Amino acid sequence: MKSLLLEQNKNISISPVEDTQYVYVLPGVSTEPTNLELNFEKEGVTCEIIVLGKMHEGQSVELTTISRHLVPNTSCVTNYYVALEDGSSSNYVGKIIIAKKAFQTNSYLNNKTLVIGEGTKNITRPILEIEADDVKASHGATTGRVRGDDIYYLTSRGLTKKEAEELVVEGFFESMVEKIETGDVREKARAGVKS
Amino acid sequence: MVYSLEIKNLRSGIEQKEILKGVDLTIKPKEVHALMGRNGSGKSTLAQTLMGSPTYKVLEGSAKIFGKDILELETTERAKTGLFLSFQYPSEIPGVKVYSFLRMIYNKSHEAKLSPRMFREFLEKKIEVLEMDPSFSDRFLNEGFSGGEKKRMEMLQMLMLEPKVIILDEVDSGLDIDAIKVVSRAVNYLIEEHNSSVLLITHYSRILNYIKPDFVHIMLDGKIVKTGGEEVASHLEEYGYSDSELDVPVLKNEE
Amino acid sequence: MKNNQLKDIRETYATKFGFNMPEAPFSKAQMGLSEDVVREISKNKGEPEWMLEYRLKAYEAFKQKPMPSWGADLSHIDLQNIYYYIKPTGAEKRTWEDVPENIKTTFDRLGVPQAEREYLSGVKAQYDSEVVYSSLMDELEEEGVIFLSTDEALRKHPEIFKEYFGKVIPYADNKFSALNSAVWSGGSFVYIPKGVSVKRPLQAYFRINAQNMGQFERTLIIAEEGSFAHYVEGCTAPVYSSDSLHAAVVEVIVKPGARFRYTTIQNWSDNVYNLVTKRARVEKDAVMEWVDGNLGSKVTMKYPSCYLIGEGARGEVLSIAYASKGQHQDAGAKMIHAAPNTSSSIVSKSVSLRGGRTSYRGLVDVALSAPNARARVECDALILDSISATDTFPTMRINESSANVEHEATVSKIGEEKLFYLMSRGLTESEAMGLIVSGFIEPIVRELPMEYAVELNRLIELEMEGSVG
Repeated sequence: MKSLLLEQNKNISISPVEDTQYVYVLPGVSTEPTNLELNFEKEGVTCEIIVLGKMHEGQSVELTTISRHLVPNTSCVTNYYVALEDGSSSNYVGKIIIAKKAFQTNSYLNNKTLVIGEGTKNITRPILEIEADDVKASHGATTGRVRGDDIYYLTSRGLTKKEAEELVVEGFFESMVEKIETGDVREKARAGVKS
Repeated sequence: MVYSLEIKNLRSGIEQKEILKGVDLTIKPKEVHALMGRNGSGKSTLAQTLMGSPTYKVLEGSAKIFGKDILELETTERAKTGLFLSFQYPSEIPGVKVYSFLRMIYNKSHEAKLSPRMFREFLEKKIEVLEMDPSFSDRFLNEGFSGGEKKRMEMLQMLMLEPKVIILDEVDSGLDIDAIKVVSRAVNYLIEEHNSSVLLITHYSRILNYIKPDFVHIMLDGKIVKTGGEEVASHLEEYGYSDSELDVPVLKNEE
Repeated sequence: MKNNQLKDIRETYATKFGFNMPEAPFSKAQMGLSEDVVREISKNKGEPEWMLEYRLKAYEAFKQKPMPSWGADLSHIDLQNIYYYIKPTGAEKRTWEDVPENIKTTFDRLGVPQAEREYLSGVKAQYDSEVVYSSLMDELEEEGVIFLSTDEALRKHPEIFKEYFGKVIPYADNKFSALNSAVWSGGSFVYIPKGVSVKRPLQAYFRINAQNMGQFERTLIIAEEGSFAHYVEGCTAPVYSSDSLHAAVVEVIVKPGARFRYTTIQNWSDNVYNLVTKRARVEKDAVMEWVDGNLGSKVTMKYPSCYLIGEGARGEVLSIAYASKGQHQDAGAKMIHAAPNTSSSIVSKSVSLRGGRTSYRGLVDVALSAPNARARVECDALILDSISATDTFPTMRINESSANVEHEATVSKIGEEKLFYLMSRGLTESEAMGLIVSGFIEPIVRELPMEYAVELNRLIELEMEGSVG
């Protein structure tokens, strides 16, 4: 599957015609609300949406992703991975819409919010609207802090607490970054979440 | 002569693809027929077609249980004729307690119903025969079961239904020798006590030491290409499926 | 699998469940709502002045509040075409023997009588807006437990009543809580004194049995410190042609260290709008559990809530929604974490078939004042055919950095291979479907008292008979 890096801070609407990984790196600073929409109108297409980003101190992101399945036999995985620093916030709506007759749709939404600061705000609305029966649709959303056990384990190996935290955050993103198939897109995404 | 199972020129497949290309097979009460052959030869398709799986379509031929044609029957009705299939991959049914399910299928398959207490005693005996942990009956049907546990659960259901025609689809795969002995004990019990007949689908002749076949059939590309006694199986064991007479490529060592 | 011919089981509802028993004669109030009707209700009940004032304020709020703009379609409710109060001709009954035979027969056909017989002395049942019979176990009385109709409680225990009434759900909370506050009638009042543990469930049966009769029960429950009780209500309703409105309000106060469970199984007939506000205030180290089964009705909108206001408070919601032809179950839960170390869990299972629609709508809110909150949401939907639908609308609003919130949802249909497997063991297609559906909702059914679990599984079996051709 080829990967495509989407431009930041634009409303995006795509009708994919071939299997594609769409990668969107959040700017990390406050922006206008953004919509990212995939309309599946061609049978047999499989896509992935990967949204990644670290929100810096006091910054906020407002993003909606929509994977709208209109014809049979399409697949989509939507990933929203965000890390929140002090006072930052995320307001995310992730919609999966499966129209009547869009049989054999397979759509999954995966949202992980990692809290690494204080005073953060996080609103998540993963929405499923299903009109067809022969489909698989699901979502998972978790919000949590860096696990104390993980930090403890790493500090026991000589890392400072700060180094350990950075490592965990890096690993958090890397688990998604490594799935980006096209090399230069992967590198850009990796750089995008480091800054 | 009324056969337990009588299959004539059975052809079936998936959509356009023909898999069974004309199978003839007759089994009498108390007989054990082993059906061997490499992966993809059509053994499981035969089992699934006989049980009425929605995946396979019958193209031609007939199959009778005690003279009654079953190919037009719903799966439920086929089960009621006394046909039982031990699935290679049993479904997991969350939320359905093993105990209540077994009681349900027992009551449906027997004229004389048992009181809850009598049924529990009956069940406990069977669980013992299969050397299963009694806590099994409180679990959900096949959910989270290991491969071996699923096979035992198939055997337990078989002992509830006391079927007349038993198809075992690779009941021995993934089982150690002790588990194979346990499974065989259950099958032999039904042969002895209920005159059941058995179609035993397997890759390995190992289980045939415990469930003695009267006939061994070799299946190749949707047809039975060789039939004989136990010697066919021993022959296979020794030479694999590469026997030039059968012109079958070498079977990969799957164990 | 052959294409199932759809059959409308509801047509046979009456014969299967024995509804449409002849009504006892009633003195009906006038249709529609006005200030006069509100005054009339209060006067008939001989209420204190403060309750009349409360009702009138609520009525004003009801007039001002808009209909909800979200959720299910409520545009077919004609609020002026409803009776807001009916008083049965007979007086309140004390014992089971006094209960009219036709009510007993209906209960009997529904398969609920075990519960009636076993817990007879603890049972309260409501027949339309007034309590038809009520009897209280002596031992409960001895321990100071109060279990009365809400009207009776207002007369007998005015101080406790006034202290708690309308405190968890203000009348102006939403349009239908305002309506209920204006015209409420009947419902249960439960008071569990400090440290008292009630072993057997407190049960009440509700039903609607008058055409165009709205039901506006008001239930108020106070569980004092360290107490425990389980309240169960089961609802069934006869089939009628015109729409019927049910807008109950249930308030629960769970004091520190107490645990309260509120179980509802509702099977309203499919012309009922069931718009219920249920909310609990959960104090320090207290536990509130809502078990909520929504089977019938035309439209249900119901989101039992827990306001976790004390440190260490815990809230749980277990919910089943079952939507068949012409039905929309818009159900869910709300968990408001407002204190440190609070935890919540929501498990929702929904089944839609024959064109029915289920929606899960939920909120997990973690306030800034609630560090170390933990919340878990799991919602699974099962769709049985191609003409049915399901939605999931969860919101997680997390304003506290230390919160740990998990949410999972799945949508699936009954796998053909599962049906085949069960049918190979001799089950018919409808039996196999019934079994899979029962298994799907088992995690919630096992939390029900046994008689209810049996009744629910029986209802599903009956429903499945009509679902395969």
